[in-house]
Formats: sequence, structure tokens, C-alpha cells
Amino acid sequence: MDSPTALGPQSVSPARRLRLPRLTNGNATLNIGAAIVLGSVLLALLAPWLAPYDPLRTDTSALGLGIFSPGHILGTDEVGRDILSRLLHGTRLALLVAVVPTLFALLVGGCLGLLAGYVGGWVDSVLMRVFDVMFSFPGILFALGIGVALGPGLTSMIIAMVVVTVPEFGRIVRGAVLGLKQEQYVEAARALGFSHSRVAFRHVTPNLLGSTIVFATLQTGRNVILSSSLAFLGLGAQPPTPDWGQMLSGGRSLLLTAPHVATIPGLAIVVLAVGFNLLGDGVRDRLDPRARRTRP
Amino acid sequence: MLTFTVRRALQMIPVAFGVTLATFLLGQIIPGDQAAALLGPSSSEQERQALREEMGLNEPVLTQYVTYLGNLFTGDLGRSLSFGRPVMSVLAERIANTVLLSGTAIVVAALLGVAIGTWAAMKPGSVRDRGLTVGVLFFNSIPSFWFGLVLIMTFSLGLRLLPATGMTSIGGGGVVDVVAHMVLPVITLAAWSLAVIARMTRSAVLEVIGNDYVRTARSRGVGEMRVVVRHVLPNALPSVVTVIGLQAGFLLSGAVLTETVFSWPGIGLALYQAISTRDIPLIQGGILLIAIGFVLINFLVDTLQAYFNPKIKLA
Repeated sequence: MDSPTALGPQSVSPARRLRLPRLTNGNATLNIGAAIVLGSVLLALLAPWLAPYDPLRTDTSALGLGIFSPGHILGTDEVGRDILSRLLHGTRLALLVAVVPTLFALLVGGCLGLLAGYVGGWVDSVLMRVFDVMFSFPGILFALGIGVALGPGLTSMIIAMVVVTVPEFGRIVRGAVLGLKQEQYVEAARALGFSHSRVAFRHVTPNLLGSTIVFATLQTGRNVILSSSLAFLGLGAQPPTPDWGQMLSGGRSLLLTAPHVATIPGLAIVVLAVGFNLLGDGVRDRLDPRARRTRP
Repeated sequence: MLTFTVRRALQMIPVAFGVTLATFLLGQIIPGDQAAALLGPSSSEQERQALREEMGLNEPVLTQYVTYLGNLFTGDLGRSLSFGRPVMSVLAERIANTVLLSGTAIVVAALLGVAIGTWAAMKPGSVRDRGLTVGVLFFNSIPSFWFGLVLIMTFSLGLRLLPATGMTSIGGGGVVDVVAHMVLPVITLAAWSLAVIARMTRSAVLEVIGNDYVRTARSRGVGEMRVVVRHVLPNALPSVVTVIGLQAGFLLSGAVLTETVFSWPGIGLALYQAISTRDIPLIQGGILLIAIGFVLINFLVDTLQAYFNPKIKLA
């Protein structure tokens, strides 16, 4: 979609001319992804001012109103709450439960991966075996178990998501560290007598950032889906908090008469997940243009 | 090959213990008194104490775990609170339904995924190739339960073509009836895996299709179809097999959502009901069963892969 040939015959020769347009508007993947994510952040921040109603206010005289009803552009849900208001306020929670678990998992998994890869030996073996066992649980099931054990609620859902994704970050970082350890500048830093912690944090870590950021962005997209799945199963934020997964679940009872109640929050989830996935893909293409040749 | 299989089988033992430990701890962490939950609010403290003693809840945690393991080996997963009978019997009557649903889904996903991936790779950069890219992105970003609901709205409630929920109609139950009930859940469950398998197949085929022996085959005038089927696919498929196997494991767990949406009477639905009624023994049993299935599938995949690719055996 944005291969160099698409720029036209006049820009074929020097590599320098190819780079500029890609940075501005050539990388459609990155731009669309960034636009969706930034737009969501903006909507989340401005939700109290943009939302026409209180997201918790029920109106028994307006149950399950359709789209474009007077006063309710996106209609109302099964207990008469304004869907647009709930959707806007739900953006906050959706971003929170997508981004926060990623950051914690990145921090914990990243440190463990760095430790395993850099120190090696039995530390590496033990950590990898523990990760193996954690991997042997399918993600959603694992999160489900933890969510049940800690009791339903926002905090326990976030903890569950972090625990489930830590091994993935750990493995990614460990693999990258093993590669970096062979690099000459790391060897040189050691030869200069720098301490292990200085080499690990000043020389190895900065070079991990690229691949880790890409993975974290893609993981955020997966977290959008995972969190809404857990919320759908009743393990996330509890009612009446405006949460997309829960709005969707609530709309199930109205599928026949008011299908938009379940459809609209679902669409919102898809758009946000697409946004993070495009952003991740776009950043990867920027950091490693070779990756796009083999990847569809 | 035998050494590899045995070694890989032995590796399952610590993992299996880890899994049982995790499900056991699940029961330990959960706040609340199991005896009170079983006997109900009207029970006296004396009755509860007696039941705790009988269930071994007063024993040290380690002793309880050993008892739990011992029970597992005899197929005793405890008693379901909401069904009022052994967890094993609740799960046993559902396991076939879950296997039927996820099994069909993985077969559909594997066949279509390989076909679509190959088809796209035969013309890189073409409309169909980009279509695959968009499709992969789409299914990567769509919650399966929502996709299922949209299918129900369109094909069951809207067009009235297929039944929305359950496994059989009232009074029905023939093969045709069950198949009709399976169509939508299988599509829901297979869609995501299909996209992943198609993407993997595409990359694998692209890697092979540039090789000299493929060019040689073409230069001898072998038809494109035959080149792909006889020369490219046999060399591309081993790496795809791994992905298919991994997806089979994920399908098993994805069944929780799909079965819930379609009220499919499998382990996933039982697990969902157990969560809403806080039926801890059933949750433990369901998770344990699916996790063990996942471990077994992974073992099978690794063995199959070693069979296809002898280099792995040495690793």
C-alpha cells in the first residue's frame, strides 16, 4: 500500500527522496493508527464535556431507543441510559485497561527478561521454566482463573492481565538481550571495566527499546480484546460503570428489538484495537523496513 | 525420534504439576469459607466445623495439595456446588461437545487458512494478497464474542437462515439439526485462527517459492497448480503445522467465549455458569481439563514438528 514504487517514477533514484514522504504521509498504517489512538485519548479526556448526559442516568421512559432518536443520537440501552454518553465515558476505561496492564507487564517482564538474558545460568533456567508453565495455560483461561480467585473487579482484572502477559514480554526481551550480548559494543563496555548494572541499563536496555515498543503497542491492541472478553464474562469493572465489554453483554437481551445496543460498543472495541494494531505495525515498519517484505 | 518423543513427554510432567498446583492454589486464594458455601447460610458453626474436618480443610496446605493430587488420579475433581453432583460427571457429559466444536473449527481453519494463504502468496502484492492483509488485521482486532453476536443478528434473527443458540432444536436432534446449530459457532471460533494460519502459510510459501528447485520445475513446463501442490507446499507446511497446533490449543480456550455466546453445552459454557455462581470446584475442574488438553496438544505439535523437521530433534 505504501511501497516505494507507489510514489511514482520521478522518485525512483535517490534513497533520500524516498525517506521524507514516508515520514509525513507515506506510512498510512502508522498515521491511521496514531490518529485513532490519539483521537481516543482526546475523547477520553473530554468525555465529561462531550457526553450529552450522565452515563449512569437511567430513563425508564426511553428504554432501548434506536439510533438517531431525538435527544439520543446513538439511542439508549436496556435501562434507558444514553449510549453515546456511556460510550464516551467508556473510552477512559477501555484505554486504562489496555495501557496500564501493558506498562506493568513491560516493566516486570522486561526486568525479568533482562535478568534472564544478561545473567544467564541457573537464573535463566529457572525463569524460563516458570514462564513455560505459565505459557502452558491458555491466556484467557489463566486470566479467568486469576480473576475468579481475586474476585471480580477492575484491579483484579488488571492484575490477571499483567500476570498473563509478563512471560511474553520476558521472552521477547530475553531473546533480544541474548543477541545484544554478542555485540562488540557490549563486550567493549565490559572490557572498559563498567559494572554489570551499567552495561545492562546503559548499553543493553536502550537497544532493546525498538523491538519492545513495537511488541508493547501490539500487546495493547490484544489487551483491548482481552479486557473486553473478561468484562463480557463478568470479571471486569462492575455495573453500572460504563465499560464497553459490559455494555455489549447487557445488549444481548435486546438483540431482536434493539441490535444497536450490542453492536455499537463492539464497533468501538474493534476500532480501538485496529488503532493499536495499525500503530504497532506502522512503528515496526518505520523501525525495520525489511519486515514488511515478508509480512502480509 | 523415539528418544525425542520420550524426552518431550517427560517434559510434560513438571508442567502438568505446575498446572495442578495452579488450579489447587486457585481454590486456596479465593476468599470465603467453602464449608459455609456448601451448607448454606442457615448452617450452624458446629456443622461447618464438622464438614471442614471431613473435607480436610483443617489440614496443612501441603497435605491438602497431596490429597487433591491423589483425588485427581482417581478422577475425583470434587463436587459441583451449583449442579450438586461430582464435577467429573458434569464435565464428562460436556467434553464431547467442546471437542466437536473446537475440532471442527480447527479443521475448517487449517484447510481454509492453508488454501487462502497459498492463494495469496501465489501473487504477492495483488488485490487478493492485500485483501488477506486487511482480513488478518480485522480478525486480529475483533472480539470473538462480538463477532458471534453479529452473526446471530444477521443470519439467525435477520435472515432467519440458521438457529441462534444451543446444540439441538426442541424435538430435533438429527445430524442435520446439529450441523445447522454448529455453523455459526464454528465460523466464530475458526475466524481468528484462520487469519493467523493464512498469514503464516503465506510467509512460508513465499519463502519456498523463490527457491531454485521451484524455478527448475517451472522451467520444465510443470503447471503452476502442480508446482504449488507438489513442490512448494510439502516444504512450506512443516512450519505451518506448528501454528495450526498452537491455534488448536487457543481454540479450546476460546470456546469459553464462543460457547457462552451461542449457549453451546460444552465445558466453556459450564465454566461461564460456574463463574457467575462462584462454583469453585467446577471452575477448578474446567480450567484444569482445558489446560491439560492444551499441554497434550502442544506435546503432539512438537512431536509432529520433529517428525517433519529432523533438525529439531538434535536441539
